[in-house]
Amino acid sequence: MRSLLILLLVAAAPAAAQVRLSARAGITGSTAMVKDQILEDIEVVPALAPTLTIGASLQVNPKVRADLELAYATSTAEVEEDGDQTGDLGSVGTLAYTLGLSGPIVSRLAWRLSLGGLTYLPSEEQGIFRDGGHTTLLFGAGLDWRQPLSDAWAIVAGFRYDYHTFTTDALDAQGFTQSQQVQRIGLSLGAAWDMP
Amino acid sequence: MNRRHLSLTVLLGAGLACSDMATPARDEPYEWRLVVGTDTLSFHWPREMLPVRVWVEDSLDMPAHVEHGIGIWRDAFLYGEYDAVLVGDSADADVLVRVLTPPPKAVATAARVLASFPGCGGATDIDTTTTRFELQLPVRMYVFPKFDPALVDLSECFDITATHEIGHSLGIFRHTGDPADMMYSDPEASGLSERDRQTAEVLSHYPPNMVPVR
Repeated sequence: MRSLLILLLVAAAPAAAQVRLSARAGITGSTAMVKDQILEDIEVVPALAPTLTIGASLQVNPKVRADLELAYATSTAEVEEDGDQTGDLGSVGTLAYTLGLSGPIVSRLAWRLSLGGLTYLPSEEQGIFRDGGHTTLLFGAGLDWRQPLSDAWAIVAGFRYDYHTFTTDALDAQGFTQSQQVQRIGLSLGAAWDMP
Repeated sequence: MNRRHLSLTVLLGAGLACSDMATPARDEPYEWRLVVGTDTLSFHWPREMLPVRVWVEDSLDMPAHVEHGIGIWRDAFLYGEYDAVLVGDSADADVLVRVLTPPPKAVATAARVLASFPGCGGATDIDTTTTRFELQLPVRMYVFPKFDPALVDLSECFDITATHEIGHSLGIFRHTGDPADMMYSDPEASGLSERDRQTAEVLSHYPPNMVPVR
């Protein structure tokens, strides 16, 4: 990951003047992290998570920007039995760190593809998190809409989809095999600043 | 599509092709329910009562042994079905743990499950007598030494006894016939067997026909 970032920065060095910083706030929704059956269907599903995203991007050629994005989301890991919430496992944060490429689709709308990592940060070591969280690969895609306010400032809105697989040491220890496929969708709104 | 795009597509495709998490094969639980007359009674703590409040007599380091037992059972669950905390006021407790030989039962018809160990013993009274479908709180547990604890190290015995009795308090109202189980009548195992864990999981999702009352 670090090598890739260095490569991106080196490649973008001639265009250092085109560094763009952004910060956005939004929400992220997720599919179930765990699906099980003990007499009835059980799922562990994160509640809608307030999300803070910061990013930095560089123009690497006239049509493509490379970026680094960090997104932190936190919500309650809800336990659902037969579709009804019956409890929770406390709050769980997720930190996504991705390297991406983006480019224009139409004038203010841009695509983004990303690859990186995602770390689950449970607040309490209990249940499926009793032996700690989980770190996994993260694949993502998204759309960004950018409305300039001035030469340097713009309002940005983002849509993100990402995919990862989930398991924990506690689940492994209790005989769960393979991992749960998890998909997330996020919406966010914020500001971007082009460095002079 | 160039090679870079092809690689990314293959990588994403491989990820998406993974099947979902496979639920582990689980053994049959052992019988945990209490039979009173013609009634088969099942209980687990309602979620809204968690964490269960446990008062422990401060003698022979028993609070630490009970906390040890609570931790073992808490870790048996994946979905937060059980938790307990020690409280300082016995009037607020759902479970009382005394360090003494069990006295005559407070209610003569309450069920008492006794366990015997080489160095110590334990008992839990389950009072269902009001309507049979109510569990009278607090649940009363007893842990006691059989020898002078000043002469013999009973720490391990107290750990096992406390864990066993906590097992009763969370709803396992029977003993098993397998010495490998924590809930064997004369347990030797220092930790839970797979059957203990799976029984605890199942009972916590089994519809209870007893409700706790004060």
